[in-house]
Amino acid sequence: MKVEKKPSLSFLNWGITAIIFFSISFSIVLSSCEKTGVMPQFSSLKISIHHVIDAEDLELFPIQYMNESGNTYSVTDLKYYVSSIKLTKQNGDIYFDQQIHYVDIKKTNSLSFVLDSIEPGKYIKIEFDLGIDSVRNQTGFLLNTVDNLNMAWPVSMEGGYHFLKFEGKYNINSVPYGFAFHLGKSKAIIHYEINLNKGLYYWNEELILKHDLNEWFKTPSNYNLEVDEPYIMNSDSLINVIRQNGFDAFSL
Amino acid sequence: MKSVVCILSIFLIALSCKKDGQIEPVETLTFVSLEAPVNFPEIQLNNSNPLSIEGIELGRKLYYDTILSSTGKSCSSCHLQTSSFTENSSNSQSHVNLIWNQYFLRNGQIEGTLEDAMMFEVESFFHTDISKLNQDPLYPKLFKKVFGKAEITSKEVAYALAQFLSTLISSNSKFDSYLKGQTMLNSSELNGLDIFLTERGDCFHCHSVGLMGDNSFHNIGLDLTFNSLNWGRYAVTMNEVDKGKFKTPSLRNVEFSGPYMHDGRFSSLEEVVEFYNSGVQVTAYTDPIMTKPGKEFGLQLSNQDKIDLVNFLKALSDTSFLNNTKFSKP
Repeated sequence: MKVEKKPSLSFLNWGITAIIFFSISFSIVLSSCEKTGVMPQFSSLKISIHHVIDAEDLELFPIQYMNESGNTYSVTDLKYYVSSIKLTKQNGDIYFDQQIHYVDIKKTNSLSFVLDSIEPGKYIKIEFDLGIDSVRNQTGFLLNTVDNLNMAWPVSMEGGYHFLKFEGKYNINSVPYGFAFHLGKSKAIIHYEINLNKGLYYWNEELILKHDLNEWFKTPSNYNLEVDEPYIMNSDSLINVIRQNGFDAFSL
Repeated sequence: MKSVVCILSIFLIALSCKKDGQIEPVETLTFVSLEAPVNFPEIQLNNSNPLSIEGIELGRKLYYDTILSSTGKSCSSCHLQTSSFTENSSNSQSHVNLIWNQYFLRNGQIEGTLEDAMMFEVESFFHTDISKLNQDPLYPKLFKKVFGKAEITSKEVAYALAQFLSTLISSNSKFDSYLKGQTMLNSSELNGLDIFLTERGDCFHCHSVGLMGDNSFHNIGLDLTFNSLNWGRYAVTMNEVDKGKFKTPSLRNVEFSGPYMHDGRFSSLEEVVEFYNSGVQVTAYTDPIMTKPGKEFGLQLSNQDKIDLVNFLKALSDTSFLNNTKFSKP
């Protein structure tokens, strides 16, 4: 006679409890491991700047782009500072990045930077400055690197740093001329506010910021290199015209 | 852990014992650091080649020694201290403030550290016969003291030269004193400075205050056409946009470092200033800074402005550097 051993009640209870426990644990792990398996305490965000002319990727040669005024132009150099990056969370909390980031179109590693120690959550706005705030825009404030020294704004012209060096060439009757949009002096700083809809939960989040260089030539003022002064550094009013045009140069 | 330390100690003692049982005294090096002068970039020293007084001295000895070449020449043959470590007939580049350079040679063919540049000089320029150094009665001992190796290779020669060249820092010109508030520039130099630092001359956009260079490359409009003799940076990158670009030279001691430009076409600072004033050639490759409308063909400076600009350039001379006995032939 074969005797079938029935599980005891206590064994049954333990088994059911274990199944429930593992099921719940497994579902928690599943829901929190979309990318990497572990929910970090802080998120980090890599911001990459993508330089374009309208919808095209920027190429530095030859003279091939057309601005709103019909000037055919090229970009030969592009250097600027991005600073005071602020991320606003849905609940109103703010993450602030104190760093001043140097961007040089010819230095690949400068085209992206990482913000660390971001509280996880959904973020609804990114703000940043092109340039450096007046407290820090003082000659000698930044660490003396070759790049920072090359961005120095002459002391005889108020000192501090170039916020932007945007240089290129344009043709008049097939003859190439140069232009240089150099922004500097503290009041030329440009503050950007761009709406976001981005959850930042992990340490490898990414955001691509699009920088459209054609925007510097238009809205609100069509800047015609054949008519308007192509070198603006000596003129506060021209700096302001280009500054105003630059307000919509960045987007997501 | 203690046993590892003990074994290591015994091993080191064994290494330092002569056959006759006498303990050879351990050679010590005097390590030094370099400080960046005011207005200069921070110094990025090469951790794999720590500077020592002994290493610098060895580098100096090599710099002046014809043993590096098979042609009877030394580094100093084409780099005379009195000419800011350049030389007229060979139009060699000045060996001044090279510690801040990332690119070497006029087209930036060598990219990296001073050690990388010196490796090129030892292996590809001088084709140094290292066996001569190893057979020399003095050098093996000096190298062993600095690098701890019995056999000399190209690497140690390059590293020693790099140590010496790291110390060739010029930062004591009249203009430096002026920036520190210790000296006044005269009215002519001040007008020259104004031309230099504003869009009147636009010199500062490539010759940044401090290094008086920018570690970058520019086509300043010297030529209308390009061939292998004036390709410049293009010869390295084969990137069309780089045609005719050459490395910005430092203007420190420029008074003594002629002739000027990559091919030495100008023999005086007056000729250089006149080129910027009236001789710039406009091509698709010319730097935008050089081709302002209304200034397409130069800066349109007055005669007095040109004299003043030259006088300012001469205020970049650093006689303490040119006469520093620490840099002279040992």
